Amino acid sequence: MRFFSASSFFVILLVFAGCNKNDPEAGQNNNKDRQPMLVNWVDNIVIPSYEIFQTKLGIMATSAEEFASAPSEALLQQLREDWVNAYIEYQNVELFEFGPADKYILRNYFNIYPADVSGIEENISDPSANLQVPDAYPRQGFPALDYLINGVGNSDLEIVGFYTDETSGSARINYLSTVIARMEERLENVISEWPSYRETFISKTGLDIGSSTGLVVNAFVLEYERYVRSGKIGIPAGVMVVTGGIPQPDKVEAFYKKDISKILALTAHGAARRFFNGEARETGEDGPSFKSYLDALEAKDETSGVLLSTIINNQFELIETKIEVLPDNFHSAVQNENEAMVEAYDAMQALVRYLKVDMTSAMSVTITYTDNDGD
Amino acid sequence: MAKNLYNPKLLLILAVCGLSSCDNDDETKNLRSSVDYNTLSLTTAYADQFEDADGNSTVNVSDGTNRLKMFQALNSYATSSISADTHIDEAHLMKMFTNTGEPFTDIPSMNIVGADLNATDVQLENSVASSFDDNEAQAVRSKFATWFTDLEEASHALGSSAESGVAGELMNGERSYLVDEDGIEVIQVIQKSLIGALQLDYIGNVLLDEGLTADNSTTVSDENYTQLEHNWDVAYGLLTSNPIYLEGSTDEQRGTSEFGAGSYIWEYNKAHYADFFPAFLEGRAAIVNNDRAKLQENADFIRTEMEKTIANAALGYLGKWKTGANHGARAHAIGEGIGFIYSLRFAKMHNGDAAFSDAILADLLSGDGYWDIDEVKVANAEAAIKEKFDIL
Repeated sequence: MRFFSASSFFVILLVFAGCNKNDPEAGQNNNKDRQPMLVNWVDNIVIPSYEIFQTKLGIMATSAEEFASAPSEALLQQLREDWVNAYIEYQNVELFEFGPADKYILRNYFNIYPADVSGIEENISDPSANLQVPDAYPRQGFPALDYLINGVGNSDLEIVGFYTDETSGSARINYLSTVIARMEERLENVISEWPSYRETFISKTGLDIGSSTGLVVNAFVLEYERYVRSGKIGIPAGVMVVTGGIPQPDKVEAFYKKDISKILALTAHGAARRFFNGEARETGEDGPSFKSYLDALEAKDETSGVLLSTIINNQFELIETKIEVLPDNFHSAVQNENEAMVEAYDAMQALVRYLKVDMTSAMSVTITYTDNDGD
Repeated sequence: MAKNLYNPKLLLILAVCGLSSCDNDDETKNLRSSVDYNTLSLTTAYADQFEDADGNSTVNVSDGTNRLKMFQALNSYATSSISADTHIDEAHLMKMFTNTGEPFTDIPSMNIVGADLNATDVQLENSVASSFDDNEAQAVRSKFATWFTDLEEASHALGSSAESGVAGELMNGERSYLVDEDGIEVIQVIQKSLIGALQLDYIGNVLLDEGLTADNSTTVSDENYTQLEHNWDVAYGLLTSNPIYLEGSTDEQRGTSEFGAGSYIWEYNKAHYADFFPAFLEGRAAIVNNDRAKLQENADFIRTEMEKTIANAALGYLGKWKTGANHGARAHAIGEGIGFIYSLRFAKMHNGDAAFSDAILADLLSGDGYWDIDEVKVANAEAAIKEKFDIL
């Protein structure tokens, strides 16, 4: 009783002094210093992950060049293998949609699916088509490549024939090359801007709307909620309100390749878990992170006393087991064993709540990506 | 000791002190007994904390609140027409804007009594951009008239789908947004531009700027408040119609029902929304106390943080264009963003002006408006706003 009256009196004084909210650092001690976390994110996770991805994207681009110069089944298979490797690796960087990747909207140009097949066909016949508008998102990136190297024929022979066709072959080759060149260029934009952005990033140590922690929390939760939970599982499984409970097998990631949807989902999920724990990309060692920050704040479940970071990590593990039991091919999963998909979704939904509500309120960070205004 | 007295610097300081206190005595004999700042309460209605010698409140916010309700009523007429699929009448919007021809009707859910608004002598149009010189103010008022026309035109396309060059509706899930042929959601542009043109400009650049030079030594005839007190109170009423602004709000949950700037301050200024009510109280007490420094400090705070709110809202909606998953979501974000960017011309504490806002909008909407927006244009707009408002 006494504690409450004393503290509310204190709050009133602070508000009147007008100083409590002016300084985002107020009340923080050194154990909860955010700068080491920002540095760990940039130096040990973001930049190394981008570099590894860039290498794999480059290997894919080289294979595509070889295929373009003399289309054959063997070169198609090589390109496909390198596309799979690059697509999997991409899952490790999609969650970095803050700073340069936010500026260049990397995810929008790399992984909006399902691919817009009629749009791709239109663009093939019109090489001057504008690829830099939202309608063009699903006409490029990995999903467009999925269609172009897996979906344009029923066999590798037919796919090669698509590109060696006397009338349209060269326009198709050109579009394939354009899509890949754009991906390389955009990734290079993002990577080359990080060194200069790094200084800004590690200096904005507050918790307000424009702070780096605020940006990363929002990007991280948005990615997991919309692109991992909903995009990879929820929408194909038909659990979202917009899909009205009916499974949507054509909305799976890598729809034409089909048998990699699980590995893509597992990789993206794992990337989120490793980021939460601050795991360095190259050494695998945990560094300053959401986890250590929450622990420093002593964020825990009030009734059980269990650390929030433990609850979150347990949930990450539970989800992993629920994804692992799914078949490699979600296209068939949603049609034949959708209950398991829905179970995975439910577990992910619980994690979203921990991240979006419990983690953010413990950290005093505001989720800004939702639109609450009701109009 | 004696030596010190002849120190010229000290003499100067003493002289200045003497002068300024003389000034104060001459200019403003306190009309009322002073208010102890420590007695101001965050849990007591604004109007109940300032009283005359007889114990009657000296606060009358109605000139502010009536304008705020007119803004709400105008917005409600336009948005409810859209959701009801009925055409919007530009002439009716203009009547609401100018408070002519008894345009207002009862809206119980918003506590709006049509007859009360129709009977007042305040109106939106002449309050809009009223800190600007005549030509500039006229340009802003004409812009609203143009938007009313655009909105009526677009409303004839209700029920059909919009595309580049064609007005109509854009969907986000089950939500539908009416856009003009450039993909602009005009109602959002009007609503968010009024936050700047009406609320920010009239509160920040009129009432809390020139309005602070009003007389504070005598009461207005037939009233128990001074003109200065009244100006401050009207500012409060134009921000919120609640007795305690944002009472009971947390970062996650807004505790009061607010409209326009009052709502966005909570959403886009998490660092300072809780400081607004105290600032209004303290500024009002400073008026009673003739405490110029404290009055100015609180006026500057309110103006600066309102402006930052609008800048952050503009950035927020530009960001939502990037994360929007479909045309409905993206066009809605851009409609809101345009209104907030338009409003930045009233951000005078940050040297915002029409040229600044218009340059951003011209670049952002070049070509086919919404339909030609790409991330380069958005990044340019973001960079310009961040630089102006010193947001890293």
